[in-house]
Amino acid sequence: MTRLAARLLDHALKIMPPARRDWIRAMQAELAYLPDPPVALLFALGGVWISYAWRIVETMSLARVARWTLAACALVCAGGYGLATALMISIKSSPGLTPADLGSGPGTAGSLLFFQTYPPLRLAVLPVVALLLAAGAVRLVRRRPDALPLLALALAGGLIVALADPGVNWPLAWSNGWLVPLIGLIPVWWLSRRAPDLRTA
Amino acid sequence: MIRSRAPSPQTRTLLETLLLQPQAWRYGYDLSKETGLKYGTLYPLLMRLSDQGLLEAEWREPQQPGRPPRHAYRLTAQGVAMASALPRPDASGLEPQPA
Repeated sequence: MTRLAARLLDHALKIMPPARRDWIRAMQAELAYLPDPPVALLFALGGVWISYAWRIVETMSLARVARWTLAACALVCAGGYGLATALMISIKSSPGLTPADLGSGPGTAGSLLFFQTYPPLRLAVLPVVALLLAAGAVRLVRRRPDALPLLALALAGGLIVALADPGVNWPLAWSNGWLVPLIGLIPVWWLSRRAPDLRTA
Repeated sequence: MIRSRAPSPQTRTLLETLLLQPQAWRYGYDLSKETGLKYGTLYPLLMRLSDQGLLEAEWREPQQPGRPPRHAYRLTAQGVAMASALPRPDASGLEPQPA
């Protein structure tokens, strides 16, 4: 078990950023003074944890970029939902509108019908999703812990609304499409937050 | 702009332990036993304090032959001053609240 501990610290030495490797060497030397193998193994596992954590901390800049990109995507999505809301409300409040008023494109009639018949309850969800996305983006930039729950709620709301309309829903589809890369960026940001507190005391 | 924060409870525990014998060189395993901090917490704290100039570290020759030199730690003068200036909990054990 002591030999395993030594090999774990050898691995930690390779992982640790070069400027910090003296500390792992210090732990390697300390290994010889530990009272028994289980303690040595725990000690070595601590060293491995430290080395990976420092590696993650060194990529904090990448996590910061991920966080800001996530926030920017969330704001764009919020704008999409806001525009969709404004568009639907303006069309619904103009009952006399005809396809000819909007242009002669091939899908104009279908889109107009979609907007005019869009259920009010679902319409009410759109600005809520927009607000949640905007609030989540702001809190993400400020590194607040409730940012991800807000974005998750927005994502859930957006998906429910989109899935409820299997047909023409292009104003929402591109808004939700932006959410797909957000899902990939969320784990990066979450991992960076889970690294040990290695910032200033 | 660097945000100044109050030391974490773990940092405070480590500083107070080191302050008990500010001139003595202490070893990682002993500090872990005295503070109760896990190794994965203790060593990053030592690294951070060293980065901030609050802790000095040196390799010390082994007291027993056949063993490797050992890394030892103690507070610098700045570290002693900082640790001494930390507010102490009141009699109820509660941390003093900022005004």
